[in-house]
Amino acid sequence: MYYFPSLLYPILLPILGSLFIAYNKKLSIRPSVVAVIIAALVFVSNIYFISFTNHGISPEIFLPMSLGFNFFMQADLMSVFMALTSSFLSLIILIYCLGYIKKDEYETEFYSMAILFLGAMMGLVYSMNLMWLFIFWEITAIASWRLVGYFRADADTLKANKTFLITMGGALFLLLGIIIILLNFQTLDLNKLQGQAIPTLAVVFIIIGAFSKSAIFPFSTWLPDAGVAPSPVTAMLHAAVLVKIGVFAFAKIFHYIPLDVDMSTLVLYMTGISSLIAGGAALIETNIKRIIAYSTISQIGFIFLGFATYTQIGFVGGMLFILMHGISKAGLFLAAGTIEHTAHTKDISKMGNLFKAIPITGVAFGLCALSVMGIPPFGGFFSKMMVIKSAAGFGNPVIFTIFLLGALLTILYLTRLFYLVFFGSPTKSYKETEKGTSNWMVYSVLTLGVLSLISGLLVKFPLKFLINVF
Amino acid sequence: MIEYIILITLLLVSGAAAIMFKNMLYAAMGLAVCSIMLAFVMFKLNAPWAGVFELSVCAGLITVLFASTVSMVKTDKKYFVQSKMSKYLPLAVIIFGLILLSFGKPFLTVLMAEHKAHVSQSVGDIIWNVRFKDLIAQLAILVAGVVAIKAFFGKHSDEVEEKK
Amino acid sequence: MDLIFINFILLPLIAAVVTAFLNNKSKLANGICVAVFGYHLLYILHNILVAKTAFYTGMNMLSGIMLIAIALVALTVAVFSYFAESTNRKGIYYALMLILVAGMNGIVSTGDFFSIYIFLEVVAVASFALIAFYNNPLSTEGAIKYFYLSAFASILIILSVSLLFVFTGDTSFTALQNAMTSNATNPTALNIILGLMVVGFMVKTGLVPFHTWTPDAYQGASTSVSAILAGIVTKVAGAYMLIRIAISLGIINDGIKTNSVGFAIMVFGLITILVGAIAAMKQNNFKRMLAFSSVSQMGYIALAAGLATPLALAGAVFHLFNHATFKTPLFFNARALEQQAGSCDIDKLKGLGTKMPYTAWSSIVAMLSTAGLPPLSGFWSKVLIIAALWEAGFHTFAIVALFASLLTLAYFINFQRTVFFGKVSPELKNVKEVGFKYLLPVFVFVILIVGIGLAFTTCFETFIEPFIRFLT
Repeated sequence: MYYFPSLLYPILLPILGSLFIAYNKKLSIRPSVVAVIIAALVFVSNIYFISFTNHGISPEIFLPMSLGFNFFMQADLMSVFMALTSSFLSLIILIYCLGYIKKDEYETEFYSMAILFLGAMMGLVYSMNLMWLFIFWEITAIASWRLVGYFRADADTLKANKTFLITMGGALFLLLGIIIILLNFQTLDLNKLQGQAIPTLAVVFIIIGAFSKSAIFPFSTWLPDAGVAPSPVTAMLHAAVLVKIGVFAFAKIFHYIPLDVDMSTLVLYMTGISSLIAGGAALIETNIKRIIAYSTISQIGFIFLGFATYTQIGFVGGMLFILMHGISKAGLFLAAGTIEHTAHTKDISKMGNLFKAIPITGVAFGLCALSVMGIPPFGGFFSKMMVIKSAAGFGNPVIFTIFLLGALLTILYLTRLFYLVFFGSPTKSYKETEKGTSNWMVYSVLTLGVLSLISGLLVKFPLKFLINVF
Repeated sequence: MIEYIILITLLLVSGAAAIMFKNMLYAAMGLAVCSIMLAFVMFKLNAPWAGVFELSVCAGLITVLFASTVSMVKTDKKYFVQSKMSKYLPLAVIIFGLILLSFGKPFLTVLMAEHKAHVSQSVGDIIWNVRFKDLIAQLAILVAGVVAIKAFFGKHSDEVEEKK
Repeated sequence: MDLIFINFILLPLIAAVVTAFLNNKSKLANGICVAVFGYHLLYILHNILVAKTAFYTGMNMLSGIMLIAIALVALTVAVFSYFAESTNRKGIYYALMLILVAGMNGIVSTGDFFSIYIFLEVVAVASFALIAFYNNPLSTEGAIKYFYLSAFASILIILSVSLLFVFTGDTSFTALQNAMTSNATNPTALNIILGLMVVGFMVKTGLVPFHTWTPDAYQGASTSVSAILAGIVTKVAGAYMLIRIAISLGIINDGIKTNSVGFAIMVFGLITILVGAIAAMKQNNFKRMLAFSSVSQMGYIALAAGLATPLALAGAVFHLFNHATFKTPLFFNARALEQQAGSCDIDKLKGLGTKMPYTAWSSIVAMLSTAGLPPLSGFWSKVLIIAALWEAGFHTFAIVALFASLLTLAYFINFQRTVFFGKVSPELKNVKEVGFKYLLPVFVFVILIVGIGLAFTTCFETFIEPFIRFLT
């Protein structure tokens, strides 16, 4: 409609900023500070778009290019909500990093890649052209490869490579689907594709691509392995931002090109089974980060439930779930970082009685866990209730039961985790205490925990925003 | 027909001999005999110009060059490597010939059927007018050869310290 | 004689004769060489972009793109070898490079098969001399292997050219095309001619099963020579000719891929992609791994060329140019590693990412582009090739070619894992980054890779569209 240059700010500012950060050592500026500033600016510029979308205007940029690869960015309600969620969570996580990432030789690359990731995420969220969606999708894969292998030990780089290869494999399916659509319709703009009959093969390929990025079984093996990354990286990638890319792309693409009932049923079965398997795995695993990773896989299934059932309450519930789960899961991963920092181990059978050592983190962990479990009045309750209601509305009793079981499993494994880490083995003692841990770390986790509670109390604000989307 | 068979057999035998002889002078002689046979074949096929070039350049000039070079080279026995090729080369050539004759018959008949190459201009006209750029290109090959020889056999003062 | 012949073939030849005597004045020799190549690059870019001569459409545009690629790679290799090669026969070295470039320019700017054969021989002689320049056992072995297979290829090519002459009375491209479109000549004979020619050029490109000379030649030659060999010589001598032949195939088929020669090229191309990628994963020497990687990428070009639809030809030409831009800097990085860390063996180089950041990051950019990741240029050429394959109905070919990108990515990030992404091993604590003069040629290519990747559609409209519009 019209050319809105400020839509470029949240995309270009971080991407160019990452290049700038790469040279920070020469300018002797702390890269961490620059990174936080950039993330804050991105968040603010996303808030700016709310004023437009509230009046029903969607700012957009449209640069036509040949062969159908138009640079088409649009800030509609769905994208703005997602952008706000991701940029806000990235900001909190980067603040956590101020305390976590020591001033060592890889620091510059870490912040550079983190900001590149943020920029690519913004580009992906706002893009309305499938090819540019794919381009930003792959840029996030490159950035996450470098971030996961941060600690540079042999095992870490091996897992980073494995992550890269598996997500690239899924992305190739997505690419093939996009190419098929391009060859059939000569355009990749989502608004022009609205309502067209897309060949089933292309749909299947796109779904496989979305599944691999969002770690649905059987494409989920990379997510628990990527736990070798530093905790803020795992929080950002595997809780708040990266895994949500797949499900968001699913929501956006299949909002414009609706799936038929058989395909959505198939999607629901696959995500339901994934939820159950991941929940079961979380129940028997002993590595704290792997447990939380399996929990993520399980919860993503619920988000797919919301989107694939094609009801208004499901859609709103799904988007709300992205927000709530992002806040709480990021909190859990960051708290896991503090726990690991204190206990010097990732094995929960070796932990216990941590509540005495790190009380504030324990409280925050508990708040976040309650939100993920879906207990009122936490935010997670509202989103989970809405998606399960949508499942009831869909009409398939098997799917409804699967997801209900999934919710039950969530409560079980999270309670087990909380108890074993914080209250089990009352005789253990630790040298490190909360006073010794960096303030940035402790208070950012606390912020997320409190937010999990507050977002539930103030849930009507995001709800009002989201109702207008459908 | 029979003359062609004799000439081509002699050509192949002398060519194989040229590769297999240990004495380099005999090898040069083998090359000369091979090219003389080829020149005869060309004369029989009504291509006098090609035959003349072949005789004068290959059988004549190149054999003289080889012979003079060989006479300047000290042939030491230890430089000759007994490779399996010298034993099995004739066998390989015969097998290849048999395969070609048995499977290639239809292709060969097709190839031997057409003769559309009727050139209306004289040889000189073709070389100097139509194909002038190719002459320059052949000059380029000459230059390349000379420089390559200088590269291979020039004074190797950097042979000792190589930074490979 | 037209301008291109004088500027692009005679000029480097004369410069070569002059430079051959300048062994003692290596700076002057280098200066002449760089000046000639720079002049080529500016001339052709000026003609295409600024003067917008109407001459550059269709086939001439293809020649133009190839001339740009040749001049670019030759220029950067000439600058790089001034610093990287240490020999006091620099005059001969630059003379050989000038002859090589003259030969390559001849191949791409002529329309006659016999001339191509002669220029091919020029290129071959110059390449042998360059590979075996340092006269050590490894390089001599590589040169000899190249010589044998190249001689075999030349035999096949001249045989097919002479058969073409017998059947049509002329040896130009148009003669071949007319013979294929009209039914005057026997189709079996045409298939024989095409088959012989294609096999000859496949050997020159290094497609499986004729690729065996490639790893030894690239490993044995000194790295700047490998850079120019992998960067442009195999492409001009082989892949470009396959594309030219394919254009004729595409025209006669009107986009219907029933020609057996085209299909054979496609099959060989697919096998090459897989064999090259699998072999590259097992290599321990960086240069050998790059050789197999080049073989694999040539497979993509052959696959697209065999298909011969306009979109496929666009993809093939674009991939050819892109491969020049990403293989050459990788060889430059190999040289940097050799120089600073003393070895090209992957298990000896551990964790140099922080010690040599510029080398590391430029190699990451080049490798990710080879694997086909956006927003780099390699992604777009892969998309064009896969789209062309799918559109033509070759679904299995498209899927295999697409997932071979995973193999490419696998061996490259495996390399990165040990060499740049891991922890520093204690012997390598004192390794420093190479000087800026070594990095400048690398940066030129990195900027090109990223730039073409971001501005893909502009490049497509300026260079590729005039080429394929002529074909549709």
